[in-house]
Amino acid sequence: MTTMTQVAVPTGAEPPVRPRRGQAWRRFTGNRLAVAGLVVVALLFLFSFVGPLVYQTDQVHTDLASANLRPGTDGHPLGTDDVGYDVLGRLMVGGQTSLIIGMAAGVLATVIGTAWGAVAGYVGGRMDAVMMRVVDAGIAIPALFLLLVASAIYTPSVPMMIVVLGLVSWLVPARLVRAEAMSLKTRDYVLTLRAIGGSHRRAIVRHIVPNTVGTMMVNATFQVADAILLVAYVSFLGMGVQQPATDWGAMLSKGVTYAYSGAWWLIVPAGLLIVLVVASFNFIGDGLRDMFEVRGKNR
Amino acid sequence: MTNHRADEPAGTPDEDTTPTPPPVLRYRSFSVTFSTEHGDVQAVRDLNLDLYPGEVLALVGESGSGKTVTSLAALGLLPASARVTGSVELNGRNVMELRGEQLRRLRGDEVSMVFQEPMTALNPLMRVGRQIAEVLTNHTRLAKDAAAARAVELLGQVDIPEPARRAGQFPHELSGGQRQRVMIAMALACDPDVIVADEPTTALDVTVQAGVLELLRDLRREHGVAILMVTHNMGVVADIADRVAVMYRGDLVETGPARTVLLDPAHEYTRSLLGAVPVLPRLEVTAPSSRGAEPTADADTRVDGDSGAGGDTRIGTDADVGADAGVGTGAAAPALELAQVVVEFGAKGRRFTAVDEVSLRIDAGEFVGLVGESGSGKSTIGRCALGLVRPSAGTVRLFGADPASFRGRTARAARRRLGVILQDPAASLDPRMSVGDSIAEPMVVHRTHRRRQRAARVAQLLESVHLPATTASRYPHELSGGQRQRVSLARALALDPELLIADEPTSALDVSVQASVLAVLAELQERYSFGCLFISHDLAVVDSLTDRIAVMHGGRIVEHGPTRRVLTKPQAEYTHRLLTAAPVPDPVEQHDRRQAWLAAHRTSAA
Repeated sequence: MTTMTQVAVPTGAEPPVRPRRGQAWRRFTGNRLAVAGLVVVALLFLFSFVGPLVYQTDQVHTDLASANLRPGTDGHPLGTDDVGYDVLGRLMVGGQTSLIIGMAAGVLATVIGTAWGAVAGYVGGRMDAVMMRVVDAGIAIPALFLLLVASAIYTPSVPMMIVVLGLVSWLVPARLVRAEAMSLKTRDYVLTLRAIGGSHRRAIVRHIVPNTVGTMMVNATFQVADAILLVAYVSFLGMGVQQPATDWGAMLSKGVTYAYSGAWWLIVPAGLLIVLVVASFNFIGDGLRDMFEVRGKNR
Repeated sequence: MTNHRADEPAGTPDEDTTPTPPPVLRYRSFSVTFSTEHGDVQAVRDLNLDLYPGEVLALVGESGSGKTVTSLAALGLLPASARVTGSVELNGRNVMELRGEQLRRLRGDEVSMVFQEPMTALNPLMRVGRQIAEVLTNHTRLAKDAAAARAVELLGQVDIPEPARRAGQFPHELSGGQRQRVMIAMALACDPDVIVADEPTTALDVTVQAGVLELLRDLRREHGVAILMVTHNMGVVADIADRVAVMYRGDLVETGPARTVLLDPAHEYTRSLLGAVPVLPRLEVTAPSSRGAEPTADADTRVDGDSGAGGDTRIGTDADVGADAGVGTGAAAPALELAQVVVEFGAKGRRFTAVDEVSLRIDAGEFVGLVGESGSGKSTIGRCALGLVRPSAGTVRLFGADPASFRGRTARAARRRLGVILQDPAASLDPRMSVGDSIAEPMVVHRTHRRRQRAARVAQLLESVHLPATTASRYPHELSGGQRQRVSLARALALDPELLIADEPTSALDVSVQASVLAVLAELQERYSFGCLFISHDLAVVDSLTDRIAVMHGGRIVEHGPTRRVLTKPQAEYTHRLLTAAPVPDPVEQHDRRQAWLAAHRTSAA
């Protein structure tokens, strides 16, 4: 006996094309911390770059007459430092340095690292061996040491810091991209391109690199956070950008001298901002990872 | 333990005299719903199904039909996100209500599972004997050494030669078929009443598959175990199943005895599913002649004589196909010519010969099938032709140029006349490139079209593979497997190739989807008359398309001739074995084939 249920069947039909877009973004926003991180970073950018236009202070001339004022006195909401700069205004100027160096160094590291890793992983063989030994050697040199030496030889400036930081932090992204490139180059779409006569260059530029974007975006946010932290270290050690320019690390460094005399406003706000910006970038990175990894499963 | 020895399962019309035993596994208004980002998806809808002791019930359907979810429910293995209504009763107890220890005891003792991919189902770091013994010590009070002895015994039962030695080996030391036998031994270890087998032979070559199916048939006979077999392969169903349940998008659309459902399907979907299965021509079942006999058979048995180029058959061992033969620009220049090609892999000492002196020639407009099982070297041949693998010896000529040299004007020009489709629909398109950009890529690489012309050409190509032009702005992950392979086909045809090289383009697709992709390919071949090297493991797929077939085994071409002749009157012993091993969805014919296979198998084993 054959039993049968009547079900309408569109024969041979394939499932309709799935909807998309907005999903990845929804996954990112599903991560609350990532959204908070994004908001905080946006606010910090506003604070540093738009803030000085609204809250104008003199960050060039010292004013020893009003040095080390407590917060709230005389129109200084966060007080003044040891040479009379307004601390709130100084946080804005210092933020510009920290954010510019952090972002630029992060982008530079990502670009160099992606290019280096993609070529090494795709070409393979001896070329890969040589390129990766260069990376190994680079990783063996402590970045902080290199920065301090560079600062001792040249006058530390923002462009110099960006270049030095970029040059030391591309190594890890290069390794990540190389690993991905090695697996991507055996994918059918790369083989197909080669079979129909496409160049290696096209394979790398159009297929390998775009497919590492997920990994690299995530890594870039961590690179930015690391770079900001590294700038803070160097400045804290007194080898960062020099007065009257400043950054949050340098403010911290100077403030520590007066911390024992109770000048908490010289270190707490700057320290807080460093923690805030680094944590935010890390949260954004986590959110991006959620976004790209789930997408990866759909591939 | 129900030890039923009924030869025919209960419920068959001509067997009404035997009292019907109660079913061991019983689904009652069973529904499963998953919550996803796109809302609720009902995987199984109100399913009622019985599995009787000692029968083989095939649960058939295409991907997404809910057959795997249904089978996993028998072991209580549904993911936590599944919402279940209704019941699944095993020996009278509702599996859905069991928890913890009860469930653990149920699995193995009463019901066990054989998975599709034996390599991932076995622990690679553990000797197979111990893995089987572990099942025993987990479920019975057997002492360790007794369990080990029983494990060896079980390996013998699943027809693994030298069971004592094999028990001490690791999974990677066994062949795919042997690994699946080990899985079956594990499933058998505690004498379950039901074995759930989820596509147990899908990952195996057909000749190995035939052996595993034979084993399952024996076990059913000897142990009276009921088998719930999930499969998409109608040939497997015809080969082994007593009854068939057909599922379609969560609904059970038809159940009945295998013979009735396969020969006289009542439901429209079953009919279309069966219609989509590529069918081999009926084999003239005779004892296989020894290799190389009847060389005269070629000319007179040629059936597909419609294309003039396809007429001339060149047996693969022709030595006079010289290295320089194809360089000229004469009309008779072959599209692809391989002469005495040898490919070796590995470093010195442990060299492995993947391809051994293969010669093959494809003329313009000729559709040639290259068939073989995994490891036969067929894909390596394809890669040689594409220039992705450099042969260790011999020559490859693609439109007269050496494809392995990527530089140079001639190689580039030769590549411009080539189209490529590779196997994996998930990896054949760049996930970060829109469908339109992917299709346009050959035009960009060879600078043949301006930007605006490219868009028009892409739309035209999409239309020719029966996809809407709006697909161009989509990304691969939004498409189904069949749609992706059609996009691959559109890309391959972008430059009006004279030769298409297709490496298993449909092997990852459902049969109905495969049928539609193959139909598009055949239609386009008719329209544009490009030559094609079609690499496949499936003889039936090749049958409907090709003029000639070359059969590969162990790196050599063992048989080469017109399609119809090779499939109906194979001369090589291996081709015969391959043909009889491939199950066909007709239970009557499959019975004959099985007998022929058994006969051939016994002689080759002896």
